Amino acid sequence: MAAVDAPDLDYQVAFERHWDDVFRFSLAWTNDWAAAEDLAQDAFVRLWQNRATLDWDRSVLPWLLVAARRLATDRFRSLRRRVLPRSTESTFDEAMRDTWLDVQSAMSTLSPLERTAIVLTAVEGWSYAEVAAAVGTTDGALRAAVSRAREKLEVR
Amino acid sequence: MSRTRTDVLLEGWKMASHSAQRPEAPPARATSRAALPLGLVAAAALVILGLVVGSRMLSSGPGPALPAVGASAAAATASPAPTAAPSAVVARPTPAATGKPSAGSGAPSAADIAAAKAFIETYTSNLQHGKTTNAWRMLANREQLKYPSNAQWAVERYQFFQGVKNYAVTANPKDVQPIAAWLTGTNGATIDMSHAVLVEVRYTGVPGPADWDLYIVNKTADGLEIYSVR
Repeated sequence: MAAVDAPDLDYQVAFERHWDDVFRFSLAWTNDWAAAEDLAQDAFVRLWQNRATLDWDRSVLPWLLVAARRLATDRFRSLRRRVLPRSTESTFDEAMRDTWLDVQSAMSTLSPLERTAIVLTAVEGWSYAEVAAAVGTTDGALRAAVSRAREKLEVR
Repeated sequence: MSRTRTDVLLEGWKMASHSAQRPEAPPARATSRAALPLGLVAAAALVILGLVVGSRMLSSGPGPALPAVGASAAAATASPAPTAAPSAVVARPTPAATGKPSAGSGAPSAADIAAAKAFIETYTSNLQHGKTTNAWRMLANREQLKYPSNAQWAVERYQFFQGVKNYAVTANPKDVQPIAAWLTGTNGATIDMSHAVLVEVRYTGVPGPADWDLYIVNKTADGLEIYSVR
């Protein structure tokens, strides 16, 4: 049986432990299912490429979220020029199509920061500090974004 | 108590987003396996076979070349070792492979480190004093392209620095990942690893984990440039 190095195992564990978080963060940031799948995929590719240099004793989730956010910024710049091919099989549940389309439409009125702030704190139960670190802003700015998001969703 | 429209929307978001199924295999592992077609393995085996044959020919001298070739060829084709060796090489990129090659070799000098630290001190001072245009010019071109506009970046930085009371700049910080782990934040730019320095800024007065920034200061022919890699 072939030996598996520790970074490989760490990577596998990180994938199983954090894929959901990276996907949901990406979904909140982009409001686009396919883009979120690709971002999660790309973030883990980056993690794989850097696995030999990472300190696996520390959580890699913050690293993954920052990578996903940066990739998202690049991605949308690219999307203005071309349509990206899909790099993964869809994770979408067709039974959820109507629900998702309604929610996506309402959430499109929010900025990425507002959407991510309200989704991750109110739905996923993350702390303000965790979300602020992931999106690269302050705790105070994040709280303000949550308030704005609620106002926009109520008056729509 | 009645549910608000926001509550209903967030419940819908939760139902939809939690219905997503995690892919069965991690992406890069699957990719690296797929990226090793039989042709590549065979080619690698041929290269190793050639090396073995060549070394045997050199070590055995000009005389009994034919028996040595036959023996080494048999050993190479019979052993599974050649297929294992190239797969390990392909599936394990070194840290240097994730960044662009450096122009020189070796680690940054003390002068490089001091210059990088001073550069970030100037950059941060500009931001703290509202001189966002000056700070913007210190960013690498690729770094500037990360943001929708200079104005949007400036507003965000200005608001952030409203809460900053003080800051401390540290070159080569010890409690973060090494510089090679942060190269993804440079968007594939050419980083001169023989001069590039990782520099951290820690803020006081800013709550939570948002109280730090991390930069790579890269040296180019035109001078220093900044990548925000946190």
